[in-house]
Amino acid sequence: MKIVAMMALLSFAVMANAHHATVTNFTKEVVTVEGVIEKVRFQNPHASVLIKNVSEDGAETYWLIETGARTTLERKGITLDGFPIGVKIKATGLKGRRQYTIYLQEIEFEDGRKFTPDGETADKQDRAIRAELVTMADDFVNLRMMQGFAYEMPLAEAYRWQDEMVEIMEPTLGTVVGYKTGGHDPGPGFATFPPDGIRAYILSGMLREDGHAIKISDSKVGFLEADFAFRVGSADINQAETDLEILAGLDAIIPFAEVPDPYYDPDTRSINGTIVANMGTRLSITGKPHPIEATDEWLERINNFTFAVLDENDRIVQEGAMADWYKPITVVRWIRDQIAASGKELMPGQILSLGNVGIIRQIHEDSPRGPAYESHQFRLEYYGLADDRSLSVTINIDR
Amino acid sequence: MSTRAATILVSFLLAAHPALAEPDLSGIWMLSGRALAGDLVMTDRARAIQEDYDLLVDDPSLACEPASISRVWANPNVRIEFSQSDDRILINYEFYDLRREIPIGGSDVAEDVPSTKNVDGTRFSKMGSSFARYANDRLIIETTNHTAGFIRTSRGIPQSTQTVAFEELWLEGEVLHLSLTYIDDTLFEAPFILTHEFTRTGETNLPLYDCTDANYDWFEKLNAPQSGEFP
Repeated sequence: MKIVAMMALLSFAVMANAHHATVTNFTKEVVTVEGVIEKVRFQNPHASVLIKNVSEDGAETYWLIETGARTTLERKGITLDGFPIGVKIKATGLKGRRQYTIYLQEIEFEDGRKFTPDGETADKQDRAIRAELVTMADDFVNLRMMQGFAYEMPLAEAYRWQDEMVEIMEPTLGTVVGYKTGGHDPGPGFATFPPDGIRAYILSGMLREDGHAIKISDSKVGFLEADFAFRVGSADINQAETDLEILAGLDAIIPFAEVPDPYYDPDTRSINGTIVANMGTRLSITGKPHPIEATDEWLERINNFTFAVLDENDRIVQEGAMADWYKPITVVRWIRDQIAASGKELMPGQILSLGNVGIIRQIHEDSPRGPAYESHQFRLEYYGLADDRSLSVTINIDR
Repeated sequence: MSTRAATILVSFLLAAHPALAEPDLSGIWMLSGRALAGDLVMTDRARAIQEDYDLLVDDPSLACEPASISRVWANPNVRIEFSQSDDRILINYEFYDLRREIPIGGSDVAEDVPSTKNVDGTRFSKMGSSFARYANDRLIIETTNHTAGFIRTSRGIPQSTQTVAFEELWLEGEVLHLSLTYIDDTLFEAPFILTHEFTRTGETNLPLYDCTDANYDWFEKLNAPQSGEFP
């Protein structure tokens, strides 16, 4: 067990802030213990974080990291929301007279962030992040380059800040109408996506109808992306277990293409920055929803349909097959579980964009990602989903 | 001096203040600064109780229960709400969601049941039965009928069934003063006096405290040797 023991002077203020008699329940010895968060208790009379320490020989010991009462922390504006289960931390504090207890002085996360129960450090950092988010949101809405997000933090924390970013953008870009995800294809992945996928919000003000004509000036680094989406039909999807049960929670396929605009300072891009910036989600173009059924036959269709992008002269720009990309229901399950980890549930009517199906075209001439698309239309067609026709969604380019 | 003689003397002294208006204590208050304790001279009986006391096991706080009037007043960072009517003083403590209803009058108005209960209706005999009176600009609360408890849980300073407590409250500007005098000749050679100061919070609502799982049984089980395992 890694415990670094140090002697330190007791802070009188710390003693006075405890519910129980800190001076008698805890010694003057300062100890540091590492462990993985097992439980967070934000309650009276003591808020606490339970961690499990595993020694080099595999012995497991639970430590209770105690702090003030919930009431006291709330008065300081402190919560324990930033302590996700499973995250490794290093806790420092006064060693308890009760075995394996500590009165918290400081918790350090693996990425170097620190939490103290006096609220000053946490508040200061939170205020700084909020100020950055306001600037990022303003830059994004006004087509200015977003500065990267420099804070290191667990993904769950980054998604919490994404929530705040979206709240800041909602008055301008509308309310949440769904989610988009990326990074589920079998390719090598993106350096700025978490390895198992990423998600962002779709807001009502981002939606455009089938056939919408975009202007080059609508985005700064935007590109045309062929996607695939479902519509949530029932809240039962939140409890669904099997693929068919998940399918039963969806009521329609939505032909879906988008124009993301990840306009970040390229030198400061990061995974957390991509999350917090809501993946630069700019415009989502939706076709006519097509009803689906919860049958094995529909699962087969969904897993094996084909698609193509065509230009205004019906020339095929690129084509592909879903079987080469991802299992759509698996991705739906991932989105559902991912937002559930943030305390949210899918709701009927929400759009779930499952991400790119391998067709991307740049709009801007100077894109480092490839040559600009010269045609005036980007028409995405899906084959094998409807019985007698293709489904489609079209983006026109107004040059 | 016996408990009875000391009680009469303290009661007389507390009433001997110049004629001033009754204090308006209404509102929500919170402890400011630390409690100060006067000289403490305990009897052999009190010292024996103290020696037997184990904070990690015997503290009533582990069961979300108040150990004494003193313990409740002394908790930092919790709100205390006063409301006064012609015949009652109601003191609502955020700590453990306690509601203390004290009749105003002589000892004949004191009720047989403990004056303090929580929002669930559980009464706490360690808080005793109280009655109150105004002595000019001061509110005096006299409490008897305690059951055994601890005036100071951190030090194991006990109270007994014979303990009498006087709480004297008065205002100085925006500061509420409390002088708490404990008399019990089975435990103390002389009255034991604690003083506190409180300031108004400016709040209007007393939130629920909702004390939950204050003991450590659940935690200690986690590190306990498993069945069949050598300790």
